[in-house]
Amino acid sequence: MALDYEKLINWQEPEIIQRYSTQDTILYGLSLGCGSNPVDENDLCFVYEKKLKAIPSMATILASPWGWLYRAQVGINPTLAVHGFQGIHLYKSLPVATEVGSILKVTGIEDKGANRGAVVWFERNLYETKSGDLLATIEASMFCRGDGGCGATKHYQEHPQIKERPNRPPDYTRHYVTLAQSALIFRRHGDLNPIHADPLAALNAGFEKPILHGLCTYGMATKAILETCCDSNPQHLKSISTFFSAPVFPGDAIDFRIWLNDNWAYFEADVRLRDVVVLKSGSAEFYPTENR
Amino acid sequence: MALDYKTLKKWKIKDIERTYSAKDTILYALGIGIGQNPLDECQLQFILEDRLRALPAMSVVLAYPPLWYWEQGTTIDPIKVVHAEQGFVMHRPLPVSGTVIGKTHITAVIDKGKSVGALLRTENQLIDKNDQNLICTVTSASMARGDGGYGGDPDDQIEDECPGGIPDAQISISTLPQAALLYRLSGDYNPLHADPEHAIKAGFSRPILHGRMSFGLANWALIQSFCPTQPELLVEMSARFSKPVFPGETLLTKMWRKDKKIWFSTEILGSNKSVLTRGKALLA
Repeated sequence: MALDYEKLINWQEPEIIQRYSTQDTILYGLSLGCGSNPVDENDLCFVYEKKLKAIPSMATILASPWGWLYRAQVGINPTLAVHGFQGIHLYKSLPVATEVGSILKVTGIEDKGANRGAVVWFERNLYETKSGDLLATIEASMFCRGDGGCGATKHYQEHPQIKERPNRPPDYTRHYVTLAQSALIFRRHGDLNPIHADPLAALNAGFEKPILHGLCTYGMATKAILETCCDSNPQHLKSISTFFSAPVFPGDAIDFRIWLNDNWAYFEADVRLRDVVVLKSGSAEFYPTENR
Repeated sequence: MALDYKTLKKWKIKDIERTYSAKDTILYALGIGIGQNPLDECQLQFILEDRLRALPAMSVVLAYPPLWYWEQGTTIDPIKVVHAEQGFVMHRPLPVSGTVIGKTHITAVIDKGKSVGALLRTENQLIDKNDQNLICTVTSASMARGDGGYGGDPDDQIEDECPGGIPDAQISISTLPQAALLYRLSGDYNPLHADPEHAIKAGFSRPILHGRMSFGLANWALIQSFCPTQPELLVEMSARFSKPVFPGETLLTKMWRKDKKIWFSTEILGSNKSVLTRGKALLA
């Protein structure tokens, strides 16, 4: 079945409202591997209710219409779709417990050609229901490898601005080891796609074993940037975005390489043991120091 | 204030009602450390919705009365109370979700002497609210270290008949450094297991693991060894807590089996320090 891009571009996704608790915020921190040194204050503040802070990338898992692209029945082959881009822009610190809402909108479809695929871009604004405050804008793309040649050229959306990697060795490298059970923990946030948990489903999708959620790697990158560039203070972070270039397997050790400039940073991530780059063209922006 | 035997024997512990979902059942299994081999079907049966089973040991966290001895008038010095024993008898398999009612009563107050304390035994009947059937009986004992020497029920110490010798099965399971932080999301938020300052005040160098978590981990070791694809066959289990475990330590469970009866003990790998002793279990 061919991708029905007219239906997709006009897709109306209902609003999602989600109430979350400090336990959910703690589980998010734990799912990124926080707490691996359980007496380190810099880690405990993301996983223990005393002085608890939410890691800003938690916005990506809140009030999310998981699986909407497949439910939409627009002809996408789900086993060939992979996460392409993820970004968030932050306006306020995420509360550690509240109720939030968001509506997903499709913003663009990019046809890469019959044998390459199509990229579906979408975004949603996350707001707090009781105050009406806008908390974050979340932007993402899915690279649908089996759905190129649909002719969706008129809906082409401009790429998010990609910064160039500074021409010098990285200023900082953060080495995080993902847990063998990291995908099993991460799926508790709501993404129950079986390729992250069921060995058979992963095989059928062409992976030797279940793969980690892209959003988990993205969250770890956010934590690496927070620790390295923001003194672990989520209020400093203005935006963070990256492209996914290869899957991560639970248990992989990831090196996050960071180039820090005045008010922005460039980053990439790789799994050195397998010699693959897993995140590329990453960039983060920070609020000016006087506002911190 | 001294322990008053009659007051305690008449003490009414409030019933607890708890509704739990498949999500809670999965989070409990993850908290025990299940999933550390994410390709192992025996582990995935406790983690994946489409084939989900509840670990029998989850019964000990579902509807127990937390810290009932802190209530006014129990005549116990609550600060000196430590969890001493844990057990369960399953009457039927634990559902993966549902609403249960926990009816707890004090079954014995045993005087272990002035220098040891009083052993408070409780029994918690876990009832399925839906059909009022008894799912399991959870037994627990706490040592009130400040309340020995005031009399009570006769000692119920029974002979440890463990056959000993070379174990029939041994399994070592590593715990994550963040194990207590994950396990506490199943409902036991005692800061002793998370807050470094609190742990130091309580006399430990750093936060310790929940005793019930080690118990659950031993339950998983028993199931792996004797009924990996039919966890519901493990119908009885009990053990005594002898030493705290620190998150990150690896626990070695040694098991001896004679027909349907199993004896076990759990120690910290490489240290010879037992953390669970006089362990017993029964297969259906």
